[in-house]
Amino acid sequence: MSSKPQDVEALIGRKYQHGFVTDIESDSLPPGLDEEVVRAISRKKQEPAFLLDWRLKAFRHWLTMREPQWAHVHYQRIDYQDISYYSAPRTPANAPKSLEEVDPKLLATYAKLGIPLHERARLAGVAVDAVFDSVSVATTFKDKLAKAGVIFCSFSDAVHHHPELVERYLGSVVPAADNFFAALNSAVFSDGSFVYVPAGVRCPMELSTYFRINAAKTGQFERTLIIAAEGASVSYLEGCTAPMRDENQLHAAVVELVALDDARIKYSTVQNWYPGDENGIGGIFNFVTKRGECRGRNSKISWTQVETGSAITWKYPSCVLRGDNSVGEFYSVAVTNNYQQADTGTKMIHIGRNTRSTIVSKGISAGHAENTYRGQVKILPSAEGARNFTQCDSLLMGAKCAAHTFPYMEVKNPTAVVEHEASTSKIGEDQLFYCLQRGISQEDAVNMIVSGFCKVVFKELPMEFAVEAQNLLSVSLEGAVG
Amino acid sequence: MSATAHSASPATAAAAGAAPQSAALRSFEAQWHARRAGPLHALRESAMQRFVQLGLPTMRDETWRYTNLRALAAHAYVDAAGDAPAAALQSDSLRSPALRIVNGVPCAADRARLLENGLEIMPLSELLRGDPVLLRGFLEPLSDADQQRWALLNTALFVDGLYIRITARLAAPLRLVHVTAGPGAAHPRVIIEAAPGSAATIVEEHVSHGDADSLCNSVTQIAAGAGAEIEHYRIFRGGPRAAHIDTLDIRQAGGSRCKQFTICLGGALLRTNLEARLEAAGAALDSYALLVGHGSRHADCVNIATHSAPDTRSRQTARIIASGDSRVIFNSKVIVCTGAVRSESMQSCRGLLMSPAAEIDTRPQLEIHTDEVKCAHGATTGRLDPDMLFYMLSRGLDRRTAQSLLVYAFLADVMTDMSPAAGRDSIDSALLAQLPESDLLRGLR
Repeated sequence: MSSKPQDVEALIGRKYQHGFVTDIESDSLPPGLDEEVVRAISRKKQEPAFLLDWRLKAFRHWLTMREPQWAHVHYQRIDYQDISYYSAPRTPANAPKSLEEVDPKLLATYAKLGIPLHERARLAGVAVDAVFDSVSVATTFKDKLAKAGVIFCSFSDAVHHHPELVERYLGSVVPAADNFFAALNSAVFSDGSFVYVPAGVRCPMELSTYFRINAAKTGQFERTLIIAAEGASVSYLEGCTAPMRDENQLHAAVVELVALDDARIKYSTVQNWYPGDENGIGGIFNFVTKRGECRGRNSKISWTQVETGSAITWKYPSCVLRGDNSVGEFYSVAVTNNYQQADTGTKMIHIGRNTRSTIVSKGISAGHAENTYRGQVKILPSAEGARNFTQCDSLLMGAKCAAHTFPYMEVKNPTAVVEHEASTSKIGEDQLFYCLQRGISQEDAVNMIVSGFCKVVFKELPMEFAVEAQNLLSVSLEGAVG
Repeated sequence: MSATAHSASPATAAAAGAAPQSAALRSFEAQWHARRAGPLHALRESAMQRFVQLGLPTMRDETWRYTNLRALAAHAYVDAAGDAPAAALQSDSLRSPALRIVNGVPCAADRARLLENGLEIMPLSELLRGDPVLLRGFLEPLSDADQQRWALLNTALFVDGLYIRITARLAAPLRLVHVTAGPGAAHPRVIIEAAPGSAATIVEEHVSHGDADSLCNSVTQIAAGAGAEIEHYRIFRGGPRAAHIDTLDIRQAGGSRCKQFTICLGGALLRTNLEARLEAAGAALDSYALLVGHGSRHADCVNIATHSAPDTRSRQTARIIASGDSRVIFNSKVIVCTGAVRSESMQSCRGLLMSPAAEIDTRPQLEIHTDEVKCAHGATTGRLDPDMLFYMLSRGLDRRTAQSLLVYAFLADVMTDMSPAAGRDSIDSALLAQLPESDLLRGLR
C-alpha cells in the first residue's frame, strides 16, 4: 500500500491498464455455427474420430437446449451465429519449439502485461503454458516435468500424444450435455491445458497458464483437464487479462479435475478480464463450468478464485465428493464495480462417507454492480457423517450496488452436519474514522479494510498470486469510495 | 347479471395454444365456467386468465424447485363450496368461541357471537355491497411473482370470505377455524385490516374433514396501519390426504409490529407462502416457522420479507424436524430495496433430521440493493448433538427420553415466543403428539 496521498479523481479516471490489441495475423473461421464449423475445427486440429463424434454429439444436444435464465444477471441476448469459433495465431510454418522461436510480438504482449514469460518462468520456477487465443504457443520447463513423469501440455498435444487418457477422462466430470455453455464448449472447444500427474508423484513446481483473449469477435472456448492419479498432488494457477474492446465477448470454458485415491489438486484463479467501461459498455461474458471430482478415497480438491474482471461472471467451481473421506474446498473473492455483474459460488455434492467441505465466499460490490453468491450443498443418503461449513460475507460500497446470497442446502442423511452463515454490511464508519484519524488516506483505508475482509481467502492463494490478487483488488475498487 | 358461459373468454383462448393442460387446471377452468358472473367479474376474469397463462408451477420454477405438484396436477377437483356436511361443523377440533369457515364460507351464527367493541366482521359478499372500492383494493392481483399464482386462482374462484376490521386493542384472541370438508377444492379468503394503533391476536387454524383428497387454496391478507400490533397464527392440521396451498400477504405501515407464526402439524402436501412488505419507517416483522415433517408429509414454506422503507426490521426464525420419509423445505428471503437504509434483518433456520429417509432443504436468501444495512443469516441442518445426548444419558435418563426431551427443547425457541392466550398449550399438545415418544414427554411436562 502506498503511503503518499493519491489524487482520487485521477484514480477514478484511470482506464483499464491491460487494454490493447496485439496486431497479429490470425487464422480464423468466419462467424457462424453449424455442424460444418464443428467438423472444420476438428479437421484443423487433426483430431481422432472419437473426438469428432464427441463434439458432434455435444453440438446436436446443444441445439436442443435453451440458454439458462435463472442466474441473477441481465445482458442482451447473445447471437451465437455472430461469433467466430476458431482463431489461431499464425506462426512461421510449425509450432515453436523454444521461447526463441516464439513470435516476438507475442512476447512483447506478455511484457506489457507485466509478465515477461521467460523471466517470470525462470525466476519464479513456474512452467508456463501460455494460451494466446486458442492455440498454445509456448511451453516451458517440459524437461523438468517430464523427468517427474508429469504430462503438462496443450490440449491439442494431449489429443495427439495421449489420446487414451483424453478419451478416458474427457467429459467424465462435466458431461458434454451438462449445461448450455458446457455443451457449446464441448462442441467447439479450441484448445486448453492438459495435466496428468502419475501415481505417487508430487508435481515439482506450480503449473500455470496465462490466458488471453485477443482476436476481435472471437469467443474463447478453453478446455482444461487435470488428472491426479493415486497419491499424486498438483497445484495449478490460472490467470487472465484481456484487451480492451467495445463489443462483448463470450468466454465459455470448461475445467475438469479428477482426483483419484489420496490425490490432491489445488486450482487457483485470478481473473481480471476486461469488465467494461464505467458505463457498463463492453466487457467479457464469462460463462464457465468448472468441476472437480474426488473420485478416490481421501482425495482433496481445493478451488481458490479471485474474480475482479468480466462484465458478467457466471461461474460455480464445484466438487463432487465421491470417494470416502474426500475433501472439497472453495475460497472465493468476487469484486464487482461500476456495472459489473457476478453470479458465482460453488456446489458441493457429498456422496462418499465422511466427506467434508468448506466454503468461504467474500463478495464486494461497488458502484452499480450486482454481486450474487449462489451455492449448493447437497448431502446424498450415502454420505454418512458428511460435514459442511459455509460462510459467505458481502461488503457493499455505495447506495446503488447490490449483493445477494442464494444458498441451497439439501440434506438427505441424518448423520450429516451442514452449517451456513452469511452477513451483509458496508464498511464500518468507525473503522474508516479510525484509519483517517491516524493519517491514512481514505483510499488506503478502504483498501486496508477490504484486504482484511478478504484475507482468509488470499492466504489460500499460492505466493505468486497472493501479491497480484492484492494489487488487483485495489485497482478494481479505485474510485468506489470517495 | 345472469349466468353466462365463459367459453369464449380470453382465459380459454390464452390456454388454447399452450401445452396440454393438466387435469387440475382443466378442473379449475371448469369451476370458473360454472361460476355466475357478478360485479367483480372483470377483475376475477383477469386473475383467472393470468393463472391459466402461468399454468401450475413446476419444479422448473425457482421457488417450486423442491415441490413436485404432479400428483396434484393429475387430480380433477370439483368445487367443494356450498355442500358442507353438518358433521364438519361439529368437528371436535373446533373449540368455542371460534368463527368457523367451511369451504371458504363463514358460518353466520358464529359471527354474531364474536362481535365485540373494536371488531367488525363481515362476509366479503356483504363488503362488496357496502364498500366495493375497499374490496377491490384488496383483490387486485397482488403481483406477478410466480409464488403468487395461487392467490390469482383464489381471487378468481373464492365463493365468499371474511373481512375483519380491528379498530381497538382487543383483549381476547380471535379464532378462525377453516374447515375443508369432503372432496374437492376450496378457496377461502380472509382480509384483515388493522386500524392505526389497534392491536389483536388472530389465530387461523386449518383442518380438513373426511378422508377424501381435498385441496385448500387459502389466501389471507393483512394490512397493518401505523403503529398497529398484530400477532397472527396459521396452524395447519389437515388430514393425511389433504393438500393445502396457503398465501399470506402482509403490508405494514410505519411503526407497525407484526408477529407471525406458521405451524405445520398436518396434511399430506403443504405449501405456505408469506410475503411481508415493510412499507414505512419503523415497521417490524417477526416471523416464526415451526415445521414438523411426519410420516410422508411434504411441507414447503416460503417466507419473503421486503424492506421498502428505511429503518425497518425483520427477523425470521425457523425450526424444522423431519422424521419418517417426510421432506421439509424452508425458503426464506429478505429483500432490501434501494433507499431502505438502516434496515436490519436476521434469519435463523435450524433443521433436525430424525430418520435416514427424511430430507430437509433450506434456502436462506438475501437480496440487498443498498449499502447501509445489517443483514445476516444462519442455517444449520443435522442430527441431535451427541454431546448433549451423552450429558443427558450420564444423568441417568434413558436414551428415548433424552432424545425426546432434546427434540422438544429444540422447538422451544419458537414456542416460548407465542403468547399463552393464543392457545400455546393446545399447539404444544398437538406438536407433542407428532414427536417420537410423545407420551413420555407429556408425562414430563
